[in-house]
Amino acid sequence: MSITTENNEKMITLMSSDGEEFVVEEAVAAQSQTIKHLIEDGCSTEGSIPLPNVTGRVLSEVIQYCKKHSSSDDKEEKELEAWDAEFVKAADDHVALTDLMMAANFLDIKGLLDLVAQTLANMITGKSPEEVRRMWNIKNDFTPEEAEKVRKENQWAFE
Amino acid sequence: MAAVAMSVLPWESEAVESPGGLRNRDFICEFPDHILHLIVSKLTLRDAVRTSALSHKWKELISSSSLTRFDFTIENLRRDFSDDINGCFRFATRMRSKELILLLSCTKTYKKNKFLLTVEAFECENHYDLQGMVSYLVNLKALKFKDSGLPEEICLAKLRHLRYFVVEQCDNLKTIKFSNVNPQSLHCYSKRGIRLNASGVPNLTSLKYGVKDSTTNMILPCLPNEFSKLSRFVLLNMVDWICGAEDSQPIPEAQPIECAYEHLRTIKFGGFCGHRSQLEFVVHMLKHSVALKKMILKRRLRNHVQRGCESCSKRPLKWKRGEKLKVYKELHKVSHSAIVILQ
Repeated sequence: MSITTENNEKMITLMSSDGEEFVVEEAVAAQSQTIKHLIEDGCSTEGSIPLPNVTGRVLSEVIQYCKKHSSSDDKEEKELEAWDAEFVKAADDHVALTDLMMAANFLDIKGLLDLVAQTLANMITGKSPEEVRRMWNIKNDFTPEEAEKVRKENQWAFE
Repeated sequence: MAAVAMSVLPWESEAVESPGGLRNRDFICEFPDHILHLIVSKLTLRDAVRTSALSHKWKELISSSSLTRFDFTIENLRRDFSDDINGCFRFATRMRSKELILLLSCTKTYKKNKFLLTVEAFECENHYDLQGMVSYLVNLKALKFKDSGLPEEICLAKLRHLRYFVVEQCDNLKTIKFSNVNPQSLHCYSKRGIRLNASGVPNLTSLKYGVKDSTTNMILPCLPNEFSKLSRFVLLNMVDWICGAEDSQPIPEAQPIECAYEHLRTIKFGGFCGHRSQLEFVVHMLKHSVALKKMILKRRLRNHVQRGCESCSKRPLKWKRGEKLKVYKELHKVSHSAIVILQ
C-alpha cells in the first residue's frame, strides 16, 4: 500500500516476521538493496512488504539506522560516526549483533554490514583465541596436537 | 503471510523452544562465509591470523582463501593493509629480539590491484618464521626485500601469484627457491652471488643480477638451461672474473654450450670496462643470442650497486682514448644484427 505524505514522500509498509508493521519513507527503506529491488518489482503496491527473516525488534533497529543514514547524507560525517558507535553499543552483546548482522545481510544494507562486521572485529581484536572462544561460544574442535601445530605455523601472531 | 512462519531463522526457532540455550550457541559460525570474510577483513593481519586457532572452520577460512579474497582497494592497501603487515613484522620482530631496530617502508602500488609489499631494513632472526608470515599473503604479486637480514635461504613456494621479486642488499641471503611460483621478473643485487634455484620458473622473462665480487658464476652458466624464456638480462658487475677472486671460473667460452638464447632480446651490462673475462662473456652472448636486438655496455654502475665494491673504486669511470674503439672492433666481428652501444 503506498501512501504519500504532505512532503510528497512515498511511504511504504514493511512487515516483520512476527507480524509487526512499520511505515517508512521509500527513500529510507530503499537503502536496503533487497527492499529496493522488491519495490522496483512492484511488490510494494499491493500491501506491506513481508520480511520473513527479520523480527520486529531487529527491524525497528534497522529502520532507525536507515533513517539516520538517509537524512544526513555525508555532510555530518563525524556526527554520523558517533551516532553509529552509539547505535552498535545499544546492541550490547554479540547475540544482538548477530541478529543485526543477519538482518543487514538479508536486507543487503552495505553500510550496516560494514558497521556490524567492524564491531564484531573490534570485539576480538587483541584477544587470545581462548578469550574469543569463550566470548562467542566457539567450540574448540582441535586436538591438542593440531592446536599446537596451528600455533607453530604462525608463532609470530600468537606472541 | 504463510511465508513468514516458514522461514524463521534457525536460532529463533530454537530460542522459542529453549531460551536458556540461546547464550551457549555459536552464532558467529552460522554466518555465511562472505560475512565471516567481511569480519576477518576488518581485523589486522595479526588478529586475522590468530583466528585460525579458534576452530577448524576459522582455520579454513583464514588459510584457504579469505585473505586472498580481501577486497582491498588501492586506498585501503596503502592505508590499512601495509600498516597491518608492517605492524605484524614490527611486532613479531620486537618480541624476538631487543636489539633490533626496524623500519618498514610503506606499501606502494604501481599498477591497479597489484599487491606489492616492500620490506625494508628488516631483520629476520633464524627462529623467525618468515615463510609462514609471507605465506599468508598468497595474493601478493610483487615482493621486495631491501637492506634486510634475511635467512640464508628463502623459499617462495606459497606465493603463487608472485610476478615480481626483488632483493636488494640482503647480503646474508644465499639461495632463493622458486618451487611452485612463477615469477616473470626477478632482480637480485647483493654483495655475493645468490643462487637461484630456478628449475621451477619456466616463464621468467626478465632477470637483473648484480654482485660486487666475482661470483657471477652463480648465474651465468645457468642462463641457457634454466632461464630459457629470458628476453631481458641485466648484469651489474665490475669485477674481472678471472683475475678477480678465488673461486671464479672463466665463464662461458670454456664450457661447451650448445643451446642458443632463443628469446633474449636485450642485454644490459653495467660495470663493463673491457676486462678479458667480460669481453669473452659479451662475445659469447653476441654469438649465441639469436634474437638479440640490443646490447648496452655501460661503464658506470648505479650507486647502490657500486657502493662497497673495491674494484669499482679502483677503476676510472671513463673510457680511455682508443679503448672504446678497440672494444667496438672486437665485438663487430661477432655481432650479427644486434646494436651494440658502449656508454
